[in-house]
Amino acid sequence: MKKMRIILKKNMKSLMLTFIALICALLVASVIMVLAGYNPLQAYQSIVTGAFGSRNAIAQTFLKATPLMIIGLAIAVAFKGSAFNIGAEGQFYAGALGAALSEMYFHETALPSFIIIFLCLVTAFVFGGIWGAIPGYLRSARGASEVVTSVMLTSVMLLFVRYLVTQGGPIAEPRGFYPETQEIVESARLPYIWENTRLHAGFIIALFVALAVYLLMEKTTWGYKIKATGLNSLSAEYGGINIGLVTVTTMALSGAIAGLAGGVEVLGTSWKLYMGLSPGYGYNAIAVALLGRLNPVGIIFSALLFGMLNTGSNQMARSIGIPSTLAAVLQALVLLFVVGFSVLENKEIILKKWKRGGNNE
Amino acid sequence: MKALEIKNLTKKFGKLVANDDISFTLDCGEVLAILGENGAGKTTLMRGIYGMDVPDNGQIWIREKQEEITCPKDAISLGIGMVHQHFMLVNNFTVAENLVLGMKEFTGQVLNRKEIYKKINSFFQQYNFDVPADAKVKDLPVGLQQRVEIMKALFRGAQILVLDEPTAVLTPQETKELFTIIRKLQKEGKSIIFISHKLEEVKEISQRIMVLRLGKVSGIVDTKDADEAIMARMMIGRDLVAMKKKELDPDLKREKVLEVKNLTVKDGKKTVVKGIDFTVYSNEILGVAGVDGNGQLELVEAIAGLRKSEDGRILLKNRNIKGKSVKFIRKSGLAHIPEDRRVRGLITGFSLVDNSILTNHDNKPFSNGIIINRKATVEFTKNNICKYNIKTESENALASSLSGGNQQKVIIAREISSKPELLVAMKPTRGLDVGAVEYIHCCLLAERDKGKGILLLSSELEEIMTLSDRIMVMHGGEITGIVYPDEVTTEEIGLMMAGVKREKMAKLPKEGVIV
Ligand SMILES: Nc1ncnc2c1ncn2[C@@H]1O[C@H](COP(=O)(O)OP(=O)(O)OP(=O)(O)O)[C@@H](O)[C@H]1O
Ligand SMILES: [Mg+2]
Repeated sequence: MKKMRIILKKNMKSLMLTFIALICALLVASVIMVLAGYNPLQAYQSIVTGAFGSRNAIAQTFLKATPLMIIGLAIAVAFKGSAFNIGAEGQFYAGALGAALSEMYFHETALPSFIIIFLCLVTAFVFGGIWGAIPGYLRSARGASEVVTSVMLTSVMLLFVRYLVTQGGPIAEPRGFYPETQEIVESARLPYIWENTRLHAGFIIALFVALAVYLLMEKTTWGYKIKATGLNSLSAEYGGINIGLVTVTTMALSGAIAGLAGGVEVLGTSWKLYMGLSPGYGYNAIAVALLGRLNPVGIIFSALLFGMLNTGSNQMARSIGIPSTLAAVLQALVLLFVVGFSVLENKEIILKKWKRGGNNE
Repeated sequence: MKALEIKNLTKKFGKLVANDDISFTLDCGEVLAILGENGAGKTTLMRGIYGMDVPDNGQIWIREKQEEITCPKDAISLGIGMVHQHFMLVNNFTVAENLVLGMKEFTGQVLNRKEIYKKINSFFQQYNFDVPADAKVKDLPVGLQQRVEIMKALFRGAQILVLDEPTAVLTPQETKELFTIIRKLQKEGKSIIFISHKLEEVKEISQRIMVLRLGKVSGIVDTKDADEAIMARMMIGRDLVAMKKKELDPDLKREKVLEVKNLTVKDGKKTVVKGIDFTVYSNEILGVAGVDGNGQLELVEAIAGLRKSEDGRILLKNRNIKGKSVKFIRKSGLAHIPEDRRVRGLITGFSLVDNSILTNHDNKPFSNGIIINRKATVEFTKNNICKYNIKTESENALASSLSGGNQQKVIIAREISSKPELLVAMKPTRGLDVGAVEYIHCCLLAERDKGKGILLLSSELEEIMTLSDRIMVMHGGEITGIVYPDEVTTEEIGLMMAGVKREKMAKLPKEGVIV
């Protein structure tokens, strides 16, 4: 009980700060909207109705949140271990490629659906893992910054996928009309979980990944090693932790989870692999992870928030004609304020000033 | 004139009252020493004055005027300077950059390097401080880093200088130099608050002594009237007991616990340990004396598997541990109390529970190799907290919220409880209060009596002299002598520390037979 209270109290503060940051972002965005000649209240209202106004809207919000959530978790794992995996975008595509390839392999077979899905996702996981492990290895063996190498590897993967799926490319659909793979068979598709909507089991998988990451970080020695290495690698080394190995495995795991997101996207949402599969999920998810304070529960909510902004802003653009770029501005502001405010969290500056102000009165 | 007056200052952390209604004065040109056990609230009080932990209640008067200090900037502009228990320099910056960092006069304009360096160098000359202003801080030894901290405070015009356990990291020689500086500052009319756990130092340098206990002032006395026994009682609430070293049975059977043969260790290109040989036997404390920086740290790191060694052999219980992983070496029976608790040894962002399993999280009962056993780890931590009298809110508190001495105790508790065959302890009592020092010394002796081997490195000769069964002296990466403590004088050890070699080495412990 007492422990619960302590945890609650600790999280209350970051929740409070996040909340204040959100309000500030909304306020500043309002100013911008007013300057651009729109009514911010109307805009926010249409975002909310666009994201939650109907069954389909809600499903769409959850659908958008799914890849962000999974990749956000992937990034959180890496960041906790001080491995700055900025290349989740590439690992996402590696996973998507893995899923697409293995679906092709099973295309004609009559295996039960859940086995095909399982094997495809495992391939996605492994492909992403390899793409994450490489920068991890380069950092621990050669001292190359994983920030740089993971970003470079993203370009490599994107170009590779582009080559594979161009019209008539090695794995492009056989007619050669479109730069994309053939649609996957029905048995490889993730089942829908909500009648009459497109919300699929990927969302459940995302929640499951959040639980798994939480358990990994809090209950296992591996998670302990990741956190120790992230906080103080000299002390970790002193404690008998092989920090090189931890870096490689952390990056591999992070890449694998991001790859899983790619697999889920192919099997659940797009049913095929093509270049525009990710509208920058790998980068937006960094924001999601930071907004969620690298904490699995926080990431669930921040992914939903971003999913909502995403879906809602499309609706906003459609219903009242506010360009969705303004929604992108709003998202950026949210991030800016949250990161900005997180500096204050440790310093206790605001809280202290408030308290003092209170005392004087 | 009073340089500083504190009236009824109180500071709470949650329920814990770190400073409880504290009042005192500091005159101009005075050195006021503060004594107090670990966690008594000394650092918190100083952080309060320096605007880092703003007090909940109370007044601060500077030069007979009441002032509001809410951040270090306020404190600095009022002429208060502080050298922290754990330094706050930017390691990758040069000395000069650290000095001007954040100073108004030097921000918002293009830095004219030459001019600044000239200014700083001439400032250094005033205090006979000869460190090149363009040296990187991380390349300086600890003693000089501290001097840079002091210079930084003075450069900002400090009239009141707070030194939080400055001597904990210094060699006796460096301490002497520090005292020279303090006396010079005193002559200039500056006032100094000096925190230390060493009674002799306090008696030597201060005019008055304030003792804190459990957050309260338990007494302020003139130094000339101070008596060590009374001081100790005021600090820890009881008398110190003279420690007794148990006589060993002359027929005792001894084994080799650690055997080091012809060991060579390099630091970069420099050879810092030059082919040394020694053995630690069971039931023995082998003390290593030497001026800091004569290869002791590198020797310890090589034994602990944290540094590559070039030539030679290291055997722990007849098992080769040279070139092996830290994990393997620890499995073979090593425990290690590192020199600097904040660099290695502790993860300040972890709770005490997590810190208590830093070196044994892979072992039973703390985990089965995959899943951590919360219950066992919590119980272990609670046990340590109780046994070693660690002051903390709870076992879930972050290590960073503990006082310096209590952080040290967390490490010692963990390492001794790991039931090692060999305990390598480097400056284990650094930053501990007299009561805790006494307790840790008893623990070390108890380990020895249980049959363990202990390699004890310390820059305090007295600690080495009273605890060791044999003393090994290092100079320039070589052993200049191995002696029995009851057969040498401190002067002789001093000579060996300066590099004078001794012909006859005490290769074996005095009592017992080797098997
Ligand atoms: N930020 C903090 N949060 C919670 N408790 C704290 C914090 N800082 C200090 N404390 C507590 O306040 C008490 C006083 O700590 P302080 O660091 O002032 O002790 P100290 O007298 O300097 O001890 P030492 O000799 O070991 O350095 C300790 O019990 C410590 O755990
Ligand atoms: Mg202190």
